[in-house]
Amino acid sequence: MRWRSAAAFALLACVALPVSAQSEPRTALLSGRYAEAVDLWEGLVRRGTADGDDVRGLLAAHSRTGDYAAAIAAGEAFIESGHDDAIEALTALGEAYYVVGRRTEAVAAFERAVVAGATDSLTARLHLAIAAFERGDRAEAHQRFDGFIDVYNQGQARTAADLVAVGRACTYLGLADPQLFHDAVRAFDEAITADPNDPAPRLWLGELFLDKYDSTEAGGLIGDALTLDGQWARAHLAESRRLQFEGSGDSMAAVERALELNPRLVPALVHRGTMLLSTGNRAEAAEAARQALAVNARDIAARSLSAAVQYLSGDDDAYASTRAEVQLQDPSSALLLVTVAEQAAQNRLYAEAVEIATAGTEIDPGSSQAWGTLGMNQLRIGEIEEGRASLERAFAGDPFNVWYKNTLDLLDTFVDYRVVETDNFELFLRADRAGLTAPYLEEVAEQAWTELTTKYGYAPPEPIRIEVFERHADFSVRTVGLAGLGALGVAFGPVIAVDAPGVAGLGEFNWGSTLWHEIAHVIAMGVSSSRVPRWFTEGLSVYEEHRARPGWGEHVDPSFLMAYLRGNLLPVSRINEGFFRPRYPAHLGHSYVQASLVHEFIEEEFGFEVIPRLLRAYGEGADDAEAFEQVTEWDLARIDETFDEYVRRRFAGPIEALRPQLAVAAPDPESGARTEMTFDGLQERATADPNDLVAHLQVGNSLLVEGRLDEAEPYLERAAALFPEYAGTDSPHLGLARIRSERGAERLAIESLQTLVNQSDKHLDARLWLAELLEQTGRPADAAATLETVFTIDLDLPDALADAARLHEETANWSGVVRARRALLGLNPTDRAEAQYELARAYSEHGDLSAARRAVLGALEIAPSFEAAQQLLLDLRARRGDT
Amino acid sequence: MMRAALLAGLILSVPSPAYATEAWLVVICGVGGDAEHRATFDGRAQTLIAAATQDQHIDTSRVIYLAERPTDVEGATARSDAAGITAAFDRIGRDAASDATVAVVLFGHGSGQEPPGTFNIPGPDVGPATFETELAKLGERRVVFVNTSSASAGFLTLARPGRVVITATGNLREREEPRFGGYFVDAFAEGSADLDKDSVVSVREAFVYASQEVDRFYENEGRLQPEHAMLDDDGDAEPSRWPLDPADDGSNADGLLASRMTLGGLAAAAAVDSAGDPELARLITVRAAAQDRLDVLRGSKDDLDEDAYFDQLEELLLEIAELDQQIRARESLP
Repeated sequence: MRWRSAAAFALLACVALPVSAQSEPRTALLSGRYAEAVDLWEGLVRRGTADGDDVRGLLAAHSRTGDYAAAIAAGEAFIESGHDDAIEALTALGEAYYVVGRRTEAVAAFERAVVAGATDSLTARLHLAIAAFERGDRAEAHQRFDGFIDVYNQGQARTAADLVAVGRACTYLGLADPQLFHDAVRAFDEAITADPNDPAPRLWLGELFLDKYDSTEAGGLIGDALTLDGQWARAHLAESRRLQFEGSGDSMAAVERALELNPRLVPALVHRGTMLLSTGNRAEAAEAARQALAVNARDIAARSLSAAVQYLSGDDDAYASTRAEVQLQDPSSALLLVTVAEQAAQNRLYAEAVEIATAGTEIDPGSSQAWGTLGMNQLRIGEIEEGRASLERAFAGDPFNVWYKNTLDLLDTFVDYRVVETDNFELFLRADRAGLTAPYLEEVAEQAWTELTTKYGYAPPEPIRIEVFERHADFSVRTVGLAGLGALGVAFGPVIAVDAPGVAGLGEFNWGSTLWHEIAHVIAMGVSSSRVPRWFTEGLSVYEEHRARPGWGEHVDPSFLMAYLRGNLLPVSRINEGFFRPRYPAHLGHSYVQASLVHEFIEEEFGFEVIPRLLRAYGEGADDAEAFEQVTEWDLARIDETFDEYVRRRFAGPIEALRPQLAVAAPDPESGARTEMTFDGLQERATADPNDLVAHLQVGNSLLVEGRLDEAEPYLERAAALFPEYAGTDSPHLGLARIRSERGAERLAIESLQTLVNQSDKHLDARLWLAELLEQTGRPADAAATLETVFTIDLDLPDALADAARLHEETANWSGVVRARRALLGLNPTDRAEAQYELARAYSEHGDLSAARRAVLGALEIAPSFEAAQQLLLDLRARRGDT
Repeated sequence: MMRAALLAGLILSVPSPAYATEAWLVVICGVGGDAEHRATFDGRAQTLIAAATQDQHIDTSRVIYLAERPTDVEGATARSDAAGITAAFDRIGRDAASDATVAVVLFGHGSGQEPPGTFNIPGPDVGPATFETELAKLGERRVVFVNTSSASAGFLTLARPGRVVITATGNLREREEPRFGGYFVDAFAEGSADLDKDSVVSVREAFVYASQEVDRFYENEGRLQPEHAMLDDDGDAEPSRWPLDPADDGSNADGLLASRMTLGGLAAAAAVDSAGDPELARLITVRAAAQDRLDVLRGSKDDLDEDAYFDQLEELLLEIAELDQQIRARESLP
């Protein structure tokens, strides 16, 4: 702390203004009644009774609605009038000039205000410092900002506006010395106390907290500001930023509200454009940038957005030109490069992001944001040590940044990991789990490589690094820098990060299909030069999961079809929004399924070969409309319409079977309450309508729970007939399997279970049960194959692994035995000698004598008298001698 | 039987004082508190005694089984109160050979309220000091002392050179009933703890097996582990947990003595009879020398190139395998 606390607290008593001291128009301004405030102040001006404070208020009221021209006109008129108080309008006039890019005039006004000793000269001084900062004169800016420390310490900051100026100056100083952010908080806090009715200090403080990643504190302050003035566009913009930070889909609505209130609010236009660009909507993002630049052609954030659009559109000349202009305007600003790098990363152009962010660090070596963007993206392309160094530097300048801190903490744990190299991959596994997971991960990864590279005619540069995290929080930090990510895997191109098999706290998930999904992303990114839209690559990955193994990937379920029936799904032309700004909790998941259906539709309508051609079109810079037009000769409207017909046709049966639920599930239009159905009510529905899927399913499962199997069976059979593909946790196939098993009809139970597991990538217990039934009925190979599907869900299953080893051995599937035995050894059994020996025996039978030798030596190293292992060692020596 | 004989022959060839000519086992079951716990503790005692007498060849006359209610329990020799304990150690001190091995195993509840902790027996509880007094009666005899009760860590102060001390917990705050004792008994009873496949479960193997199974139990249950068994057999008052890794400087090498001791001590070794077959005796001697070279090689693993290590290991293990084959063949001769 550079300030004396006594001075700070001493100030508080003398600056607080009673509410009653405020004028009527000022009260109107502070509560968002801008038109009323303008009318009242203009009346005073017309009557010649307005003083400088009134005119300052009038300019503020005009500016809040974006009528900067009126603000400037009023300010200029007052100053030209020669009024005694004219100097009091200079700062406000300068602000209006500045907002529209008339910086020379703005600076002149600020300087006049300072020289003339206007009561708000401290605010004018702040603007002069900001102007110096934004033209790249960091030394002058720093000197000016630093002066505010003395101002505060000498007790010269008396009003809320003065204290806000001090707080804002400290915010800038904090870029070089993060401790000063604390002082900024103090100044804003005092400003709030000084004028509790003014929303501005609360908003400044809220924005500072948001900039320092404290959304909770920020939310309270921004909410308070909005309570005081619900019409203030800047407060709605702050709320939009906060909602975006929280990952809420409401952030777009909030910024659009801001723009309704002030359509010319440049930061809001830029924020909206940035969000649009993140969803791949380059045209609307460009329009937002254009609107912002129409207000202020010199706004660097707006120019940066424009540059990002130009970069992502492949308009290299325009991008270079914008970049050069901004550099001329502020040679020390890395904002444009950071913006473009972050947008490149959003669009999975990680290598490009590294290159651009590197340039940013060269322009502004003090920019933590540039170092942070560089570091995060270096890690994404596998440059681990370089990434760590960049993040260390970023964190030194921005120690509040939880992303940097979390990521650096995670990197510290990398000493506990080891690399397992396979033909095309580098598996980065926690050392104590590598023995268990590597055999199965390698199997899935290499199979995906073989199939997908052949299918798409493209092989990415090797090796692909697959980082496998045993804690979901670690995976999440590795991916986005924060815990709590909903995804299970992420592909950065040359690096994939996934949750490890059986990670705790996530419920049941299939790591095998997840890994396949991510490898498919790598292929799609490679074919499209990383320019494939998110919806297309996510859909393609799910589509490829469906083709990899029976049941893999998310499938159409009643929830999806109900969303379809309710009209909640977006058309193909807007499907990307479902990934970036989902409208309801299940929307993101539904978007994945829907996108995969689009690929199935494309394959049916045009043939599979169109999919790689679309990827290549994206790679050449086409957006959705251009790519489909080029490759299919259909516009998006036709795609939308035909896809809708495809869904209705393909799922006609289940859709009709769910239609009765539509009326029941619809909330009461007034209360929003849903009708809870009783068992009797459901049974009546099922009796009345043999095509009511939900009624049959729920009645059948309820009867099953009560052990009334004979009564449950017809309901479940009907449900299965209505939606045979449904394999959720309450799938009728599961109930039917139980009924049939309890009757001793094992063959039928097996059929039900097979139907179930072939349409889902979950149901671990059902798979174990199926394997048991298959073995009992003399089908060891099928039982072993079923256990293999279990292991793509979880591997911490020593009994199942031992069963698999035994069953594979019975059917002489020695590669399967080796895999299971390797995993069993990886479980660190108490009897390691026995486990090593069994593995050696499997290797020997499989014909891998070298691996067998190493394993049997491992057994005898622990247990040199182990007779069976001794014999195997002698046999191996003899066989090697033979060869 | 044949393999046991082979093993015993090898043990004979190792000039270690750990293998005495006579083995005694003292099992003390403290206060159970309720019928269920009495049954658990007595069950463990009886299982351990059966394994020791049948598989490890301890003479039943040298087994002392002290129970809370000796009249209710088959095989119990006296009550597990202070008098019973004193009498047991008096007898061993008086009757056991001077180079005998004595194993003392406690099943029951412990208390860690007051350092150094106590073991609950009928009448006043007893602490490490009581057992120090009793163990003093055994003179220089080798001792394996195992306290499987809760909060038993205070008994680690009994560690001395030539004495293996094992406790089920690592400190006095570990007051939940430990699972270690059950697994420790399983190690001997089920034979699954014969980790080096030499047909004998050493005290070290039993400790490692039980510790690992405790780890596995709590991991599978998703619970924090409330017990951490400890072993001290080098008398340095620095006990070790599984996996008994020595310090980087080689100090605190707990586990060496325990690896050479079984509950049965010389009872198993007594089955060896190579004196009548000079060739068998020669083979056993050669095999022991090979074992020594193997120990040296394994100790230098970190200093060798991996391929070179495994090449040397293979040659040595082939030599041992061939020697063991010859020994087995020799033993099977009429």
